[in-house]
Amino acid sequence: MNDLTPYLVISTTLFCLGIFAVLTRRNAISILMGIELILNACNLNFAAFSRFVTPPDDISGQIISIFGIVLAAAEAAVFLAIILAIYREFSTISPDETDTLKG
Amino acid sequence: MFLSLMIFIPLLGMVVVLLLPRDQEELARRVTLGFTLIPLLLAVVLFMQYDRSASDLQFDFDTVWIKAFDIHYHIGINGISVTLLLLTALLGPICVLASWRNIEKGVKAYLALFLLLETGMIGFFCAQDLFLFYVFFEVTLLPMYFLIGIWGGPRREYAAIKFFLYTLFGGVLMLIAIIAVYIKGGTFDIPTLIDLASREGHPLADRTFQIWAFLGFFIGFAVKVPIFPFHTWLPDAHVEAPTAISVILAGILLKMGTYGLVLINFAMLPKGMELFCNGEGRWGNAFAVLGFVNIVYGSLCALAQKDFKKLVAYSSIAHMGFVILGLAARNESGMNGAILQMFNHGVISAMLFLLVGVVYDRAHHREIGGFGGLGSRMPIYTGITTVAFMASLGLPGLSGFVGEALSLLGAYDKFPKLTILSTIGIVIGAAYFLWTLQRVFLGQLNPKYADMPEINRREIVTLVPLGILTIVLGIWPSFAMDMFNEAVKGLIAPLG
Amino acid sequence: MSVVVLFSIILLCPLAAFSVFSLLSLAGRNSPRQDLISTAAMLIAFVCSLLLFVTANPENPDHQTLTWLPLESVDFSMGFYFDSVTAVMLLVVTIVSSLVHIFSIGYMHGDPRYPRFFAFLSLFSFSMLFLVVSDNLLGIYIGWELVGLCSYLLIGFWFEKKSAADACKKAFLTTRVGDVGMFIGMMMLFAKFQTLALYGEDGIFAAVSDLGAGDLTWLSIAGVLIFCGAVGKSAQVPLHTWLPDAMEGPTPVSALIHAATMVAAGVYLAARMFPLLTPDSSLVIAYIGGITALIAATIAIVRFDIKRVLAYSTISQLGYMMLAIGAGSYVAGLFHLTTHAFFKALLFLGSGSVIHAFHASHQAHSHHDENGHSRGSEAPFASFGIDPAQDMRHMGGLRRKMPLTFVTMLIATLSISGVPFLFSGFWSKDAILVEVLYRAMSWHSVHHYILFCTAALAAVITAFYMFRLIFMTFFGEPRNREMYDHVHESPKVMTVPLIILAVLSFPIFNTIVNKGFFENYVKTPEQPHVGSPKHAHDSQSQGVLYAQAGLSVAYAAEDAHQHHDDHAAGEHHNPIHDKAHNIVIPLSFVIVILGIGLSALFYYWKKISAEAVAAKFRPIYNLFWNKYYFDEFYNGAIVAFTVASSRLFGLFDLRVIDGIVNGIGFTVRELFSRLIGWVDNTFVDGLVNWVAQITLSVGGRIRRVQTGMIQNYLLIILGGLVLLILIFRSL
Repeated sequence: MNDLTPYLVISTTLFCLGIFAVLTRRNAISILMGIELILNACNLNFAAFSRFVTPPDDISGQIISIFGIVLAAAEAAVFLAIILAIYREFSTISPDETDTLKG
Repeated sequence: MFLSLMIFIPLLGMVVVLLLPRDQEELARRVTLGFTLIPLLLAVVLFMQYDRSASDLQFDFDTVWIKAFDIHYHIGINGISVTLLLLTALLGPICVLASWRNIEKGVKAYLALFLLLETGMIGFFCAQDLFLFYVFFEVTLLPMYFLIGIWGGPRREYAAIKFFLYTLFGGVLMLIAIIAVYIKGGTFDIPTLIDLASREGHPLADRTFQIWAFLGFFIGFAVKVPIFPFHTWLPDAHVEAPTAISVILAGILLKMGTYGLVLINFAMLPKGMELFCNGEGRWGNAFAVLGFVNIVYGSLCALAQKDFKKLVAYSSIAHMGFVILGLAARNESGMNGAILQMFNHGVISAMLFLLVGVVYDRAHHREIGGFGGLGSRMPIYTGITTVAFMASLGLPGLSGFVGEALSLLGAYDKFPKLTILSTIGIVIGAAYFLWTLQRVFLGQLNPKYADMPEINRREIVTLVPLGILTIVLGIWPSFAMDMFNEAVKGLIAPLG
Repeated sequence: MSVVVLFSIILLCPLAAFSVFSLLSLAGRNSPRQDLISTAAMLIAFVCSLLLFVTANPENPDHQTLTWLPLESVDFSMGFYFDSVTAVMLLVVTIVSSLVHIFSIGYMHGDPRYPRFFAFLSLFSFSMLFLVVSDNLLGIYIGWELVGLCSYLLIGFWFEKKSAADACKKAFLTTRVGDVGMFIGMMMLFAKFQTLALYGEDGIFAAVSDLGAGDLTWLSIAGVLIFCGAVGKSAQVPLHTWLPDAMEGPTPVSALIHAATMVAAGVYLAARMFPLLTPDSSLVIAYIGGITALIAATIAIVRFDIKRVLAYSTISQLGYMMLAIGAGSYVAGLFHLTTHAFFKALLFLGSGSVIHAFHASHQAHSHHDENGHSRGSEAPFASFGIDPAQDMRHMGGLRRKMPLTFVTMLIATLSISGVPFLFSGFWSKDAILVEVLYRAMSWHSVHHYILFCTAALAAVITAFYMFRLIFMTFFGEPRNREMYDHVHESPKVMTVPLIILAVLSFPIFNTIVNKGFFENYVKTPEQPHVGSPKHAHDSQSQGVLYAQAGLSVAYAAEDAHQHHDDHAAGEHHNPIHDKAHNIVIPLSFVIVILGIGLSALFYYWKKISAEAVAAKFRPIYNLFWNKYYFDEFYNGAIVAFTVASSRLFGLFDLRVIDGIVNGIGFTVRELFSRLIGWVDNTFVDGLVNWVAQITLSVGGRIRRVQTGMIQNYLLIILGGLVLLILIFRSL
């Protein structure tokens, strides 16, 4: 098992799914889930590259993956909080209707 | 240091007044009164301590202020300034008392500005450095602008701006002359400059230069005096200003002009003065003619006025004409008369404005024809007014006469025809004052004022010191003249 | 006591009385018993004056000065000078003033401003006395103006009356015109001599004698200018119009100020200036005096107001005194001043007594009049604007009701008419006539013959109108029965002064109005400039002046001759003088008989109707009645001109001078600032605004990119990412 390609395929698939979810879903929670997918695709890439490209004793890629997971958790928490606030303000969590930043 | 104390105590008072809580108006008034009484006390001490037999500067204090331009903080007094200092310090508390009740809005700001004004005036009469002199000259301007512009009558903005621009215009010309003198003389120190200007061959003693510098200073001071045709700010400013400010305006600010003429034009620029006062050539009568025009023109205009305050304002113009005439004479009696007249006019016009204020506070108008018969209702007020009027129209035994008579007697020596023509002013002066006296106080009492209250104790307190001075100086003018006689001798000694 | 101490007391007493009043008033209190304070002060002054008169030696004038102003190049000193003239003047002033004070206690009783009246009287007395004792022109001028002030205050004492308010203003202003002339004269003297002191080594009188011939014209002008002050104060033509109007003041004031003392100060001044007078200025003075005497007398004939008659009579008599001084008869002028002071004060006080009685009757008659001071303010029947209580047409027959007043006034009238030998007025008037005639005869001067005729004619008219006054007031039937019934004699406090003054009208009872005594007393040989007139005119300085002038060679020659004669024979045995005397004495009889007789024909026996004569000489009558149109001329020409020109100047100042200032302000504000404002708005600000507008419009378009929809942004980000990848790929 020293082939990088399957990992990359999986991560690309994940990433695409994530992008698709983010761009198409009409629910902020779903968008969050898409973002999580994208992040995980990244983490997977980090880990895979670290494993197959860099020297074996250099594990910085893996470490960054772990950081990424932690950040994702934190981000999810902040995101959910924002969504709650948006819900309180607009009574909806659809991103189409919360367009007060419109120029 | 004594003089510095006198200059800056009112400034300290200003700070104290500003620090007081806003609602403590009565306290602010008392504090201001206190801070104006201290300079008066100091002035009285000064008056006692002053060496009457010396003509040079006394209480001299000199220290570097701005090194780069050799500007000094140089203060000192001679006999002429000490009399005017006394006048300034005396009018200070009187004006605070006079504005005790009739200033209602912004009392603190008013009092603070008043104290600043007092600092400016005292400083002006002490300054012996041209730059300092100019600074104090302008320091008086700003508070005056606000005092008229905020606490004045209906046309206060117009009057304040007119006063400000006029004086500033003169001030700018003066500044140019000051810079010119600095460039030629290399110093701002007034005694040094006077000394340099008398040395033949020194660039400062150059005749052409002196004439131009003379004109610069002259216009600056002529606006202040005011000399015809620069006088029209005066009636407006007087009419609009509150009583106490009119008193300061007539009592002190006008004297700043004539004092400047004596200190700068007369002493520092003798060749310029010579051209305009020697009675020969095309310009020889110019100075005296201005005096004559001021006297007759001012008197005639006063005769035509219907507003009590405007009448007094025009009479001021006429009386300052005697000062100009006396200065033009450049001899002992003329100069002494002019300076005495400065002091006396300060006292008498202050009385007159206070008296107008008294009746204005009660009737809320100043139309001379709108009164009538007040003599039977307010006998004390009428009595004091009669004294002030008589002093102003030059009745012997009261101070106004001595200054006027000396100025005329001195001027006759040099300008007999002009002086004889100027005596018309004496008759017209009597005419407008007596006519006013008749219209306001004599005749049947106007029923509108049937219960006009008599002058109250506070108002009497403001008037009595001035009245006493008027009578004392009328009977014994040496009381003041001793102070400045030596200084005058020093001034006219170079003329031979 | 020394002279200084006595002088101080004389001056300070009245001043103190006034000060008490003014200080109390300032404190808001009324001065209790001001009448007693003032009267007492005046009596003390009188006693001191009497002491001076008795003890001091007029042969040895006392003169003391102190420096007033500490000037070096010129001399300003104040001081007093005591000679016989001072002594006489002090005595006259204090006597009349004391009596007027006492009279006023009765006359002014019940007036709401009673204390003030006495305070003003005191101030006046002080000023008058100050004037009299001053040794220098400045001091005289100070006293001069101060008496003018008091005159102003007292004429306007009942200032509620418009006529009184007008009169006091007129008096002050008219006299001020004269005073300005005097001041110009003082300036001339001062410029020449650097001093205004009259006496002493450096005084003007000493310096005048050193003047050269070229200065004679100058000196004449200066003398006439100084005399202008006297013209104003002594109500000489053409400045006489204020004095009749001054009768609006209370009658005691008229007696004191406008008859006996202040108006006589002009004569005093002219007498003091005697050494300054040149032949030319003397002649001016004499003519003004003569014309005044005649004009005023003619106006007096047709007056009906008792006080106005006396006022014109005063003017006329003052003219007499001026004539005397101008003609060189110094002693006669001053003597007439002295006698006139007493009998004229008596006449005024007598008329005051009558007026008082009428007022009392008027008050008793109409009870609703409660405030006593509104004299004349409400006239029960108007008659040519004359206060009915002063209108002689309402009087008549009063001698039965007011015998004391009648007798005393009759004595004064006999005196002023110059009834020979018994009365003081005769002696002084006779002295003037003799002196004028003597000048005329000894100099063969046409001027002085004319002046003599004027004086004689004026004397006839004086006798005529004075008896007209007596006849109309005290004789005949009462014309106003209602008032007559209520009239009664005045109280003692008023009649006693009348009696004292009446005694003073008889020369036999006293020294001061005794001709022989007076002429000996006033003569002061040690003062060559102020000696008796005969000496003065041929005294050395005048003689030298004449000779140097070259103008009056004949005068000088005559004078030198006279001088010689005088020394040889003494003045009274001078043949020309004797001749003049012999002519004048019989003439005096003629004058008196003519005057009184005519008057009696008109007003006592009523043989001739005054109305008929008036109708016959209507133009002349109108001229007299309208006072030669002086007032009309002054009001119409001078006052109107001054007021109009002042209006013009006021407008000029407001419109032109201030207009220029405002115009400059306007121009600067409207023109320059508009222009610059336009440039600023269009170009400078325009550029700024243009930039702003561009930014705004561009921004307006670009902002549409901002949809506010997060997914759009993400899509764009994605697109951008793809684009970047593509770009980097191709590199």
